[in-house]
Amino acid sequence: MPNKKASRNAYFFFALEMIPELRRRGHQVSGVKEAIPLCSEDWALLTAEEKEKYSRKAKELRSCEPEPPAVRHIVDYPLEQVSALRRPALGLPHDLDKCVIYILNIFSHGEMPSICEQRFIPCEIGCVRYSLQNGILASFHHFIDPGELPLGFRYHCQAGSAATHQIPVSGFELGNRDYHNLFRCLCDFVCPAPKCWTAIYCKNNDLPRVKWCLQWLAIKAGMENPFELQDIETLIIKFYREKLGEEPSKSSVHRLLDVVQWDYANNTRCKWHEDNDMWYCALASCKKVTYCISRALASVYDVVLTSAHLPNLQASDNQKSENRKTVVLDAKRYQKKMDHQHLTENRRSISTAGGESSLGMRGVSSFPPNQVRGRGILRLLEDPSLSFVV
Amino acid sequence: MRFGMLKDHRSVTGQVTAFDGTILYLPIKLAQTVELESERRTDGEKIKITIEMTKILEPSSDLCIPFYNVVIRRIMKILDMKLVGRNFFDPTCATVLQQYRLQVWPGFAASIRRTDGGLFLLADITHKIIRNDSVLDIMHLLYQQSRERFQDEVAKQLVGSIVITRYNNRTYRIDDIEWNKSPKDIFTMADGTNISFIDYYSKNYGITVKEVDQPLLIHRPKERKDARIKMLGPVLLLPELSYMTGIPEQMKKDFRAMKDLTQQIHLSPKQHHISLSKLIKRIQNNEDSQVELQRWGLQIDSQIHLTSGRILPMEKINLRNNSYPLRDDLNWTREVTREPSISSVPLHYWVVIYPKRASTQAKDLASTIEKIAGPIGMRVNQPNSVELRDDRVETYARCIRSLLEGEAKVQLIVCIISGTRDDLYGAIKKLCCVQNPVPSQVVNSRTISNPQKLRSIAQKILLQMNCKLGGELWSVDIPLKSMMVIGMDVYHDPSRGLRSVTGFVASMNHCLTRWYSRVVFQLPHQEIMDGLKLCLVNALQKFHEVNHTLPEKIVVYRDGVSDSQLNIVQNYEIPQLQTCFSTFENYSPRMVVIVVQKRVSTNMYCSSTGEFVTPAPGTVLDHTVTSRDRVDFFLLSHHVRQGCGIPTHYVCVLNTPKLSPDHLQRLTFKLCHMYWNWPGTIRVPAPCKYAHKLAFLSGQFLHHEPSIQLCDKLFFL
Repeated sequence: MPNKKASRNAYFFFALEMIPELRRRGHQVSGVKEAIPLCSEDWALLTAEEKEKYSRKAKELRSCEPEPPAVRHIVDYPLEQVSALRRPALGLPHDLDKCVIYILNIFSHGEMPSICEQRFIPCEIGCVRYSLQNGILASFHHFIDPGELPLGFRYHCQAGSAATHQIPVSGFELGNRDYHNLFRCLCDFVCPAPKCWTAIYCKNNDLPRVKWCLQWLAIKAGMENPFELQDIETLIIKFYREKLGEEPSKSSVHRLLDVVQWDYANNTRCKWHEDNDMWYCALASCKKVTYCISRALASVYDVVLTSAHLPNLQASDNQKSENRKTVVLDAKRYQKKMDHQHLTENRRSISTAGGESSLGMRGVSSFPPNQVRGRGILRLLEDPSLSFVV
Repeated sequence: MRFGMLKDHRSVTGQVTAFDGTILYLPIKLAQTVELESERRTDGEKIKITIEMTKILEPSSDLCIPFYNVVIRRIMKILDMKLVGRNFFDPTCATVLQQYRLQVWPGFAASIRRTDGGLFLLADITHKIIRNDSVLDIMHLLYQQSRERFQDEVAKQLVGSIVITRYNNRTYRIDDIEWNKSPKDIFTMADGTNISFIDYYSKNYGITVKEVDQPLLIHRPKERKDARIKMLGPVLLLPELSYMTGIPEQMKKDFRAMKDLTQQIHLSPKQHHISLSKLIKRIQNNEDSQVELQRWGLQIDSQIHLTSGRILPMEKINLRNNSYPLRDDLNWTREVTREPSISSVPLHYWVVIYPKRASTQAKDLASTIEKIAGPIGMRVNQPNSVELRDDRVETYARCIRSLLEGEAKVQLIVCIISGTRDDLYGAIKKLCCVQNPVPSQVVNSRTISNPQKLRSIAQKILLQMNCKLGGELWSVDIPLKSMMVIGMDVYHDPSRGLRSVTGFVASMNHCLTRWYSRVVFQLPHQEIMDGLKLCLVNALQKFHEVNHTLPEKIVVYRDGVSDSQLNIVQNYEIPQLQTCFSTFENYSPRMVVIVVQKRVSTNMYCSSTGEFVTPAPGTVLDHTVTSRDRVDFFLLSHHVRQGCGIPTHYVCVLNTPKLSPDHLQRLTFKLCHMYWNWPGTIRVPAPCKYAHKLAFLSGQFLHHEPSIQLCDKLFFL
């Protein structure tokens, strides 16, 4: 059994202690595994100090262990043994911030009307490996060749594509036709070891589509679909509950994921969408989810945000100042009175230089980097000695 | 089957019958119950038919209306009109625009209405544009252009367009193209026999298919909600026999072609009158149609109905220092661009973002704005300019984000973009309205590239910027005090077919120059009212914050309601809204709810001078053609430049303050002056238009609720 001790968190010890109590209540419990789903209510009732007692126990145990691996995978039991619904509760270790999760999204050329047997037309797949501790660790992205479109639904597909990701519905040279290899790659990406079952997540709204597309892909690949797809909202609620002991509402989590802040962040899209300047990208949508989680939970789990957590704004700023020419038309408003001479000089130099300052406007100067920012214009307007340049 | 069996008994029922499958309408009275026997033709079984009299319908009864409409439909058929969709078209009178390879079919929308003044035939003129090229011709053209990528090209160009098949005048949307079939192929007809397309068309329509090797077009009929009706499979069409409809994209860009076309379509009141009179004459001169009418004892007047309306008094426009009586064309561009607005927000720190290509335009715009700001009474500093190296969405987005996240408070962002680019516009609006709210103005570089027009365009842009910052431009005198005016409109997302967005705008002061706005997103299964109630409560709270009292009267203008939904509004929505008042202690304001309908087929012309001309703005008609059960009126509030004057229909569904119709009409007309994006009157009251703008922006581009910080500004203009 790989790494079983990882699951011995505070909750484990609590469940262990609860077993006699549960038996008294009439539950048939043979071990911790069965006790765990039954004591979540009791756990929620505990005070912080009481919980602390259990987490200390867990820490003691862990310190006896050899150095824990920096990256842990959620290890779960085979499907047959445990009911699917309770699996995340079982599998997640205490240190949720270190555990690795996978966020998957598959885009389709729109949703087909109900008379069509094929519900979706998969065309793009994106997946990221992520942990709260370390941010995005790796990403996976491919275009899928959806094959022959179902007859008579080309219009639906075109409309669905045009409204979102704008991937051509047919004749797209980047579309991957080798489903078997594609699916194998995905399996390799998600499951580092064979026979190791991992939960993957996507947004609740996308769940039916991603589930359907994944199944479609598995059939096309001629392989078994080993993935179990869960909604990320529930996981986030779990993250909160684990640390703060209380659950946020579903709608607040939904709002948390539904932000536009990262919609136009750089380095989130795949190359094709980047090159064509289009914003609906499967990879970007996965990364966006991780950004939202990082932003929301970093303070809860005391994680230091790095460039792997959020799109690196600092880098973009540097890049910008290289590429973008910042010109301030209203130079006066940043300048003090004695700068007047500098201004006129500047103006002269512009009229002679011409080429560089393409704006050619009087009173133009490049952005003064270290000057006092103030409402200089007001002072300027009040000063009669200074003729106002228009 | 039923129809046929009933037909066998003409001797009993008489020659004049109308039967819809269950109900039989007769112009004569039969003996109480008649029992007849018929033979079912399929299996020869005897069927008993019982005709029982259930009701004698009054000629003006509501139940008769659908039945009269059937009669009208028959008459149109007698007159050789073709039914396309709901309207009747006359292909024999088509105007052919040979140079554009188009033909315009004139048509009529005709139906019977029961109004205050009795039964009326409501007729309007419509047009259908059909191209002379068949789909096959277009395929040939595409084939010559690119042989290698022919199939892809064809799919790209044709899929999604609407075609008409001339043999039965049906319209279809092309959903796909079947390359593996040709007219030689065989299909199974409804009765089970197999027939090839070539034979089918020659047999049924007498058409010989010329090209036997053409692909087929596929149309999928819409899903029927009614499960009993058997789902039809895809419809296969022949490209040779299908003709494109609508104006081709290429032509829309051609200004002269469009002018020629609009001349055909927009009829002056005089032409409109002539065409309608012709229709009446045709009905009267045709013996068959006369017989059809007379069998039911109907008669159509030979003249279009004349009635007298009223013209509301002209308003005065109030600016900061002066007020101006209006000229005839109801336009006050000159005044607002030369006189200070009621209030303006000084613009200290604002940013112009432009791509390198548009640097001259940006510079010109900035300098022009500075020049024209003085007369408007607005203090504008020079903007900070940011030149972008390209016009990619990413570049804009990065620049805007860094501006918004910087420590300095930007008051306004002006983005100059080249061309109309919805993705870029959406990105800019999303960044500026949702996360870090700041008013934004997007300007197409083409509109400011003409130096002659720049001044007037810059004036409009500056006025709009002032509104977005929270300034007030002009007002009209509002005699009613302590009143709140609310506008609501709904935007339906066409592509998603799921969410609809409701815009909500409420006035915050008594001269109706401050507005509070909210947006409600709702899923199909969700009740609209939950969101709206919250909006109303918030608006009232805000009103109290500003005025320290709650409004005594609330006037709601509700747009986006069809005739059939009027009862829902009246019986369900309004009582729900009224429950909001209980949130506040001892508060029960009086409330007026007026439903605004823009799409009506009623036309008005004015004949006071002897000739038919468009009526003056402010013309009201509140009798004869109005509904019998409700308080409603037609108001033509805008100045009509082209075509006929189509008034807006207002239906008052609640009036607890008992405002007189005259007051309602005048208030409505006053509000039509208050839309600050246009220095003139508009078709609907300003709050409705604002709500429409807001709902459209949120639904089309933002897909999110705009930030609450912007709710007291008209950021959505």
